[in-house]
Amino acid sequence: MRTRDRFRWTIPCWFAAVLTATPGCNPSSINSLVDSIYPAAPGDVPMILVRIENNSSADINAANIIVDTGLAEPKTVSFPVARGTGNAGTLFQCPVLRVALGDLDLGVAPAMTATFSDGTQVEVPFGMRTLVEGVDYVCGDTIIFQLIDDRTAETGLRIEAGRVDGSTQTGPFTGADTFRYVQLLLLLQTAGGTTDTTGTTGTAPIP
Amino acid sequence: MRDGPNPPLRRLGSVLTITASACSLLCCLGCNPSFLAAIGGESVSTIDAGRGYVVILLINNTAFDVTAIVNVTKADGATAEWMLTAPAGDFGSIAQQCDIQAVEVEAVTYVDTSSGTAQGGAVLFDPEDAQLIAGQNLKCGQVVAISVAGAPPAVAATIEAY
Repeated sequence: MRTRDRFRWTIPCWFAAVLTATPGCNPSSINSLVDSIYPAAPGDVPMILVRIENNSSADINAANIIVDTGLAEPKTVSFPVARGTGNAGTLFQCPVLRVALGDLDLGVAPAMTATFSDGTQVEVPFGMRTLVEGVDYVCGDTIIFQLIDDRTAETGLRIEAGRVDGSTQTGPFTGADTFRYVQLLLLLQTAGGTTDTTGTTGTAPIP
Repeated sequence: MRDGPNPPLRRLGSVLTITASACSLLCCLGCNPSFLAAIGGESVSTIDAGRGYVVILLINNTAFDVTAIVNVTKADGATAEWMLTAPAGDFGSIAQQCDIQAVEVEAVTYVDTSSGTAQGGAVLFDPEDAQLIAGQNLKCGQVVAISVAGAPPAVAATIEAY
């Protein structure tokens, strides 16, 4: 092979090899491209997953998730998340009309309480508008709220939001189809009456 | 200048290889966690989309509110205690990413507020019945289901990993 041809082949091959070895590609993308392993969102299961990710230097004493399901009283779930790479999430059956941390309507009520390593406690505001179904997410998505350090914020902490598109997480999966298992367990074991397992699917968010 | 035998095929092969590499790069960059779809126009630094979950599911088939205390051991040995609550006829859940090695149900209790005064007690479950779900019995993607049913004083829970 001539030197020029060898060079022509070598660069793309090395490029492909580096890309293959490079970490950081979205696992969801890898899931969808290379034999989906586990779901990162409920997908076509009529639920949403709300996950709290703590990548800050403070321990979250309580992350206060509040959702509007159309009933008279909103549903609330609260749990702590350790500093560093702590994370935890919780599932809600659709319909979930609105999602926020702290308060659905005020927007400045404490979304989280957190404690720094020196013992300083702060109340972290939500800092964004309430998320609305059909605008910010749809049934089947995973909504991720991440707490990060921010020196420009009054509390030294800031909340960011992200979303895993559920339409990319419908399977088939080579590993356990986690949210399908949850749906089946609830269908088989729930007494019935108060839980609606049919759910509804919303329209896609405005891009 | 001669390109060797079958030059058009060689050029085609080069083009295809470069195109495939470029597509891989675009895919990787376009799907990088740093570019995870942001909500509300907010910039997103890095958020991990998640690589699968273990879900701890509390299913309440009673007429009371039920609470479960669960201890989770992470892969690095750190432990975290979670409290799940489920209203009557409903469910509660905690979804953890798959960097955990064990789940232990410490206690399950119920509270009956129907009489106007809160009364409750412990929910019975077999201490040897998958209280400690670990090792080969705990895999990424699984659901650890705590199912509560019955009426006082025989409110009982079964614990199973699916």
